[in-house]
Amino acid sequence: MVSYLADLSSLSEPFIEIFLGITGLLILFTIVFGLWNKKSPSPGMKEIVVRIYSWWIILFLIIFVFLLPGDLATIVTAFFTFVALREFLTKLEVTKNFRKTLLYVYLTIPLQFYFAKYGSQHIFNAFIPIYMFFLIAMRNIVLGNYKNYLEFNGKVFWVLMLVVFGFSQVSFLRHQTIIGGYEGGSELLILLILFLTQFNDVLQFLWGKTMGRNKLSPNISPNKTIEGFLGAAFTLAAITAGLASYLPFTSRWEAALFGLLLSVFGLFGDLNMSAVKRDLGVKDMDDLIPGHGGILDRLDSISFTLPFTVQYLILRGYL
Amino acid sequence: MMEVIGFLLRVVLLKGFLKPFLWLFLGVKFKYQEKLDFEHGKIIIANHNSHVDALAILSCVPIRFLHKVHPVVARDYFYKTKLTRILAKLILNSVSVARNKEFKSPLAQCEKLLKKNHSLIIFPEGTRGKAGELQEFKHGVSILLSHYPDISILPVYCDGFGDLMPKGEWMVLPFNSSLHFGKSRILAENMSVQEKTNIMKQEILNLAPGEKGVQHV
Repeated sequence: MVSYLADLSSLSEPFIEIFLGITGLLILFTIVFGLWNKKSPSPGMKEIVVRIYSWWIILFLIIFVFLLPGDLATIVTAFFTFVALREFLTKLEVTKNFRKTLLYVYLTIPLQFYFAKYGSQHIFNAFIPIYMFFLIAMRNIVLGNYKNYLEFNGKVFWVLMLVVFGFSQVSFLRHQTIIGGYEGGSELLILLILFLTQFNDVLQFLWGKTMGRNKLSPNISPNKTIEGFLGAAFTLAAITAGLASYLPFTSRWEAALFGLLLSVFGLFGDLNMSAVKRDLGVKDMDDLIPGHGGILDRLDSISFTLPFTVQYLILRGYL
Repeated sequence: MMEVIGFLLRVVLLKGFLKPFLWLFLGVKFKYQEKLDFEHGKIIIANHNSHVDALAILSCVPIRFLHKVHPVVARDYFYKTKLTRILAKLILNSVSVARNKEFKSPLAQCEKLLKKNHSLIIFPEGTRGKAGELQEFKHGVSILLSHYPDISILPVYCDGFGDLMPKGEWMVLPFNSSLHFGKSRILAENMSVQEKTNIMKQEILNLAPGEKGVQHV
């Protein structure tokens, strides 16, 4: 069955194996947590159930995008990035003095995704952090106003990094060949990162619920506990060590280390979006799907783990 | 002939391009409290922040009523040159009112359309205001209603449109905004003009979403 599906979808056999495993796990989770939420509802529990539903959506979307021909997949990903950027810029309410600069900020998306597919590794990694850094400042100076200049530059550049630079990594990874005879292909790596990140959230909740005593960050996210974080980090390290043959790393130890780091970045990504929302004084970034908030509400941990993974792979010479 | 061309143009532009563009790219969400029906003449009243307002409302009108709904535009602004006049007539299907005392009865054209059971889109503020602020309402709609008491009003609230395209700017930029259609209602005949105007203002304000609400000026 695995090889039949692999032939049918032109995805690798390891990919199909992991995909079937995740689907099975998701069915199990949907039943278990759905019943748990019915029996003893709590805010944290409800959050997890919502998260599991968004997993289903993400899983279907990711398969849908993988089955699309190359350019179309990039365009779909770029569009979702655009919606996320619009969401963020709407909530930021930056000054109108530099409104014209925002056109260039939006135009970053097609360029960045073009570089993700056709550009060199250097231009992809330098376009936003360096070139856009200059461009935003220059355009604002040409507009000739200094009121709220620093605030606008800081906010907009930061959002560009988080949303456009962050989410475009998935398209970049898709079009890279991973060195070292990695059989799964970049599709499998993307699927695993998304899955492991989401799984990390659930692990943090489960460990926190059973063992949690000390609050990790009472002001930003009162549900997170130190025990939950540590438990999830080591569990995730054990899982990645177990899945080492499905990951591109040369040793089982490195796979475990990667799992540990992924858990840390996932936690900070989650807390990052929480801090943003608390600072802005909003509950959700948007109401795209009622009860689920906007895109950024669902992709909080991923906004950190994706760029982290790609930069780690580059640093260690896997890309 | 002109009318047929105008109608086809409006169907293609408003339904084919503008509505998908507003929804996908500009981030406008459309919210309805009832199914839009212009079988009988209605006056759509809305707050006014940008040129997008009238176009967005028009793009929501079902195709079979598209020839029966007319935005009311300012004569001194839109009918300045021949080109803008033709464009306003073709694309907006507009009627004009004079904001100065150029004509004896500035609402004559509007009345003619209401008699034919057509509908009007009127921005009672009279001009585009700042985003999130509601200007003082003019009494034009109330005066029309006192002549045509069986015409109902349909309140509409444009939320965040001032950020899509503020007054004085030509560049349209994406911004998560929304267009809220309320319930149409007939105002009691015995109310004074001032009372009617106050009720209309309140009807529009009731549609404003969210915690921030709208400031009165």
